[in-house]
Amino acid sequence: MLGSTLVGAFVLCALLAPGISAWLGDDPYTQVAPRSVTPPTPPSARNWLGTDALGRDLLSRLLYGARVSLEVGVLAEAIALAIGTALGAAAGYTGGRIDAFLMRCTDLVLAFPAPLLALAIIATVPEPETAPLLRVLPHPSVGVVFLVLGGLGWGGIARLVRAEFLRLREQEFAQAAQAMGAGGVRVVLRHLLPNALRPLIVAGTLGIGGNILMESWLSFLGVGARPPLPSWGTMVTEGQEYFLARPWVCLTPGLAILIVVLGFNLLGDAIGDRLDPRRNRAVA
Amino acid sequence: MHRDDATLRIRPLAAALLAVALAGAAVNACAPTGPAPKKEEQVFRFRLHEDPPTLDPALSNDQFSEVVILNVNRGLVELDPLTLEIHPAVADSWTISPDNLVYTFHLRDGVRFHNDRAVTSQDVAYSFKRLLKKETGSPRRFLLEPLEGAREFIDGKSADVKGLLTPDDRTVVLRLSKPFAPFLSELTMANAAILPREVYDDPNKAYLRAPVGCGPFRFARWEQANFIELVAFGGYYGGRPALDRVIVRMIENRASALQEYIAGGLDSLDETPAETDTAMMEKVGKEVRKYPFMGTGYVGFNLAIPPFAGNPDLRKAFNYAVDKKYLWEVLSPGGNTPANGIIPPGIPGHDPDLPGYPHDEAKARSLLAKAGYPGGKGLPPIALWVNTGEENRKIASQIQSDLKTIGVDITIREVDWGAYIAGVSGTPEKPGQAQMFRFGWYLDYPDADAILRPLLSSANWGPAGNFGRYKNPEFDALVDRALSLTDPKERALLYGKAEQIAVMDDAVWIFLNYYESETLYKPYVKGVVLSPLGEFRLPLERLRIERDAS
Amino acid sequence: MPVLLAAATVVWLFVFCLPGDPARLIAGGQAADPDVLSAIQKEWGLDRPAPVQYLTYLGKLLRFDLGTSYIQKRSVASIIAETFPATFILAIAAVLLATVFGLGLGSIAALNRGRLLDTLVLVLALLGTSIPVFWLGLMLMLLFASRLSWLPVLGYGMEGAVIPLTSIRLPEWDHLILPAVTLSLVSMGAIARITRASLIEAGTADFLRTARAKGAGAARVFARHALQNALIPVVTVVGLNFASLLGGAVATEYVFAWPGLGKTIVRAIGLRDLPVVEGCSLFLTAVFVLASLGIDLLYVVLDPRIHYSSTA
Repeated sequence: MLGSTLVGAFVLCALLAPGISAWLGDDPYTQVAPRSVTPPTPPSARNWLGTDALGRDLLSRLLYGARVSLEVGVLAEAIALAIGTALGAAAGYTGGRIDAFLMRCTDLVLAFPAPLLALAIIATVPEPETAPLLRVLPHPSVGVVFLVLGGLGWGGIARLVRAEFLRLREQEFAQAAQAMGAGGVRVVLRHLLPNALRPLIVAGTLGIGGNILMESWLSFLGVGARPPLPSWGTMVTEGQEYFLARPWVCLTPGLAILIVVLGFNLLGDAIGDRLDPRRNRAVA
Repeated sequence: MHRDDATLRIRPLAAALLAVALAGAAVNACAPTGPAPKKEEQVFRFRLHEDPPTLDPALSNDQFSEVVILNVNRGLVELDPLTLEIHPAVADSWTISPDNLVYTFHLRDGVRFHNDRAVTSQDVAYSFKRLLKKETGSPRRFLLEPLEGAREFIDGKSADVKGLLTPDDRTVVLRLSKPFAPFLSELTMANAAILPREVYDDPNKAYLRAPVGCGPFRFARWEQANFIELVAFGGYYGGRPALDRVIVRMIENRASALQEYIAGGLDSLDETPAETDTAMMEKVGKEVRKYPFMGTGYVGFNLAIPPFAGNPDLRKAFNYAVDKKYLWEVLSPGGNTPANGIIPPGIPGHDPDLPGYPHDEAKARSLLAKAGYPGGKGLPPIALWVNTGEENRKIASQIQSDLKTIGVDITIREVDWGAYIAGVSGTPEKPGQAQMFRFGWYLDYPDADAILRPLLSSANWGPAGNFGRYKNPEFDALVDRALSLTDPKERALLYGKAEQIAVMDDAVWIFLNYYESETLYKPYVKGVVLSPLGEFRLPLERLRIERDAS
Repeated sequence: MPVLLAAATVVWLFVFCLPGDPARLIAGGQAADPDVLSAIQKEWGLDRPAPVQYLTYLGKLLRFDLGTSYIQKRSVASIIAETFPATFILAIAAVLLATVFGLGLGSIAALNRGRLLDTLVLVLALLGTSIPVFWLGLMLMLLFASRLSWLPVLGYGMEGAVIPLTSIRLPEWDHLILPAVTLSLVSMGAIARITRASLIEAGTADFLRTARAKGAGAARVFARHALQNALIPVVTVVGLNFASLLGGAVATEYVFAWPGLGKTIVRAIGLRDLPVVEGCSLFLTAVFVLASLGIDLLYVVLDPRIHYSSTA
């Protein structure tokens, strides 16, 4: 239950970030540290976590950073799930040549060292702000990240769905539906997919955590969200310089990543334990 | 002449200060790092952000490369990094004809390459032709273009450079097509190093990883992404250096490098802790050394595209809006000083009384209205380009925040060096797409010409350096005339006038800062020279380690 | 092979479509004049049509020619040869650490199932998989190297020593500890969890009780039994984690200034040294494919049935 609590708190923070920080009288972009003092300034009644290297309220930036993390985590996973499920379902349901071909593609995607490829691709999209597709997004630089992570992350999902479908296809209810004259799409959507949902939910939850971790890693290396957007990875990079004198500047975003990813992992495990009867027997 | 702001070349964790660190000495009191060098051996370890792009003097165009090359190689003359006087090097004397066209150099006796061959005038001729040759592809070929016949040689119309003569083994005569005041200064640059033909004619280009020169240190090895090792050259004409070995370590992450310095794995570091970092300053504060060096930081306006084209009021409004004092005295204290113009202090022509554009919100607002954009209304989207780097990001974010106070919203485009240069410089025909770009310029020799001409003269219009495409005949005339004069006072006067035009009339940039550098040296390193030309000009042969000095 | 060809094509296409004129990068930024540029375009074959460039590229690949660095002007293969050993050593050390400690922790948890120790291991394992590597690396460095001075801050060691140029560079062992521990945490948690789950599934606790009742040496029996049951899933996890291991290596090398391939790639991306980016990515993909093959082979070696038949 810890998992769902952590994830719930995280999602709430992300969704309510503007409200919370407005209520605290801050926003993540305004320089609030006094003009006479070199930031980062220590925590105070006004800025509960102090300010960052530019004198901006750190708590507000953490809250808004949650939005970036959530955006990347969820959207990238949604893309991965969409591609993976579609291809996996097609492969698993039709079988034969199509199956062989699709699985070849999946092997290919899985054969790439995904983090490195993502790093290379994202680092070389020089101008997300002007790229045709990305321009329309609220944060183009974040858009590249979730598109690439999603586009590279569907291999595992496709395999999973295919395996489930291969198993389910042979089961009675699917055979029966087919015998009664149900069309392919209908069988997939009405009968097979709902039954394959459990492992997908688990994989998706774990995947969101993975994506958040990956986004922070990319930002740490300087290729993720661009300023002035607050991203937790960037905040760690900016904060490490002050580690000894102002440790919270680097510690808080790092801990935020840790806790949120931990939350998603716990949640994924919990769902897995609850949904998977076989696993239940083994672990409980 | 050409130098990128090194900060611009450094990725993720660069600091605005210089590219290159130098100094320190070997030994380690408490370091758990590495085996302690033998007691009597003098080893000096300093840090570079990354591997030098090249160690071939002809190809070098950045400070990472020069910090090594300047200690391995020597040219005809060298620049004293401290006094900025020109000293004899491979040539021990020279004469200049009264018409300033003919330079005659007499080579020093006993100059030897690291492969123990004596240097002759033929080597000088070979090295200079190599720099000029098209096939070499040197980005700084233009250094020797003032030579008579250089153009014909480059274009392949002549096998020889007419103005490059070697009457005997010990004499080199250089003839220019027209007087060019900074010519001798140009010969001090790393690119004009004297190289042994037998090494540099190698079709396999082994010299790229094993350079040979006649400087005080011999190249020993280069381990990619790890370190470069230099050892003292016993046959150096100036006498064997005190240091036995020099280790140049490649460490990119700033926080990591600081920790390594404190632990004793580095004898010098080109980046210092933030002054607010009391914990850190307590440990190394005494080892911080500050020194000004000749360079200017600015935000360039693209004068060829809207909204800045033909709108000096708008450019002035931006200038007044940016609080340079806050930027350099509070936000990033201890490094740079707020700039009032272009020519940095210490250079003839610098005018401390030039009003410049001190922070003035009211003036900024009224000028913005006068420019046709009251309260920022009506402005097209404006992007400020910076290349990736923590310090760049910080400065850009601050400018963004300052402009917001007068109602102007700009976006920051943080891009890698390659994309940055492409976006900022454009092509000869087409201006770059960047409307504003942060840039820094370090002077290669102590002359106002070294900043006014490359960056603002219409001769360098476009990708050649004048990225903002500034063109003012009056300014050009002043800069050109100053070049043909020899009286320093008269020249300084002309440069001052040119600066006045570019700053007060045309407001070609947002004038941000004059560079001041800070660096760390362990106390046992003696003989440290902090050059106003930048820290990468540290002559390693003057360093020594005195750890037991009481 | 098809995987590699496809990878090569993807990498090439992707690099080809990048904005910015490579010739200007080779020339070193802004200084280039048209003469220099055209000379460079000719020398590097950038003036030829795209299909020709592509075929030339493939042809070179077949001869293991990965191209020449724009910046360093030397072969990418030689850059890889110089930097890969460091990455390899780091990765191997990390995998070994992860496997040994993962197996150990997992076994402890399985034997103490439901007790405090079990929970503790599970929490640790989860933390290990959730922690950002770069951040962990920084924290470990600041604690063990800066605060406590137990270990070196960064680097490979050896820069003080005189070693022959030809020998393979090995790091000093104490320099290896922090980076390897940092990187090992990427897969240690997963290994501990899978070990625990496999041992529980195999009924290890019951098995052990029986064995002990029969008077067999508990430790030896357990070690044998545990390895038999947990090794295959562990190998699977190591294989699955290999890509994240490479990603983690990049961050680790960056933080600890480890002179490896990851650090080199990050630099090359920054400098737009496209041949290096291409070559190194391809090389790592090849390593990755090879590693996957190796793991498939390991399955055969480790398969208990084969094992049983050989001992029977």
